[in-house]
Amino acid sequence: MSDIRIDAPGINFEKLNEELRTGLGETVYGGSSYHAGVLIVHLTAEAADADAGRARQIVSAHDASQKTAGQVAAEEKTAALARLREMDMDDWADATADEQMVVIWQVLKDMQAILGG
Amino acid sequence: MASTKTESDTSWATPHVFTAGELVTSTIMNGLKDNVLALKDPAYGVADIDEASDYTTTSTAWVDVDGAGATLTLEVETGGGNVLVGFTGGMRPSSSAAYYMKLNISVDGTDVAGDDGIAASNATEREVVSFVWLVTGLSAGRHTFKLRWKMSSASGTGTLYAGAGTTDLDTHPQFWVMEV
Repeated sequence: MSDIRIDAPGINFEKLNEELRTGLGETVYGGSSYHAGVLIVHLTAEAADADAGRARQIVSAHDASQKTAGQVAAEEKTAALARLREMDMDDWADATADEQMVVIWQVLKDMQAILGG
Repeated sequence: MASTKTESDTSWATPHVFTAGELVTSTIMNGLKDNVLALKDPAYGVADIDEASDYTTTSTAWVDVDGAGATLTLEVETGGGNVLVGFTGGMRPSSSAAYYMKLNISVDGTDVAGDDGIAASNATEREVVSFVWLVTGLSAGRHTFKLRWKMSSASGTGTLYAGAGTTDLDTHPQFWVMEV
């Protein structure tokens, strides 16, 4: 195994890890570690010199604002929980059938997000 | 705040062997006294963690938890024999229950436990991870102890919370060694 140390402040570690895994492949990429703005990319014994350069390119091209599917799902779950907790049902009896359907539809969507469906 | 690390070497010296009829001098008696004090104050090292960012890894091979620095590396000179190594910290073993986070320690560059190390967990919730490990039969001299970890897959992210201000997880791990 060989390590590459790269100064990389402000990364989205999970997203970058996903990009490195996809870009380098499982047989070359042995994971990475991150602390205090320093990223260490761990390459397996199968890695060639070109893989180290490829790893640096991937880190350089990384956009920290991009999220993994798992992070997006987690954010949607948190938002759905917040919406359900703050839902005001005081006007339910006065709402039209269409308005009630809108509320029911939103509740079902939020429950789906929370349950991960 | 910042992490603090204290390392204290042993003051143990090989005890004097008396011979029949030998005159007991103050030098000899002070040597005995110094060794008693050495037993009272054995070699130890402790790292109290308070960092600006948490530690994370997806490494599938054993790596230092603090590969970017040396906060979780302890170096002490011992008188030879056994050393206790301990760790307590708040951790998130993985973002998915499908992956395991594994912990180990190395002594002078060699991991003390093979296979999956000292402890492994695949909990997706935050939990306390704590262990004590007895290292036996060390030679007298300077030794280096490191906290190590790895994941079962590069798809899983292990996290050690390091007092970095993460909401409700602003916890402070401790890594220590003590000669016994």
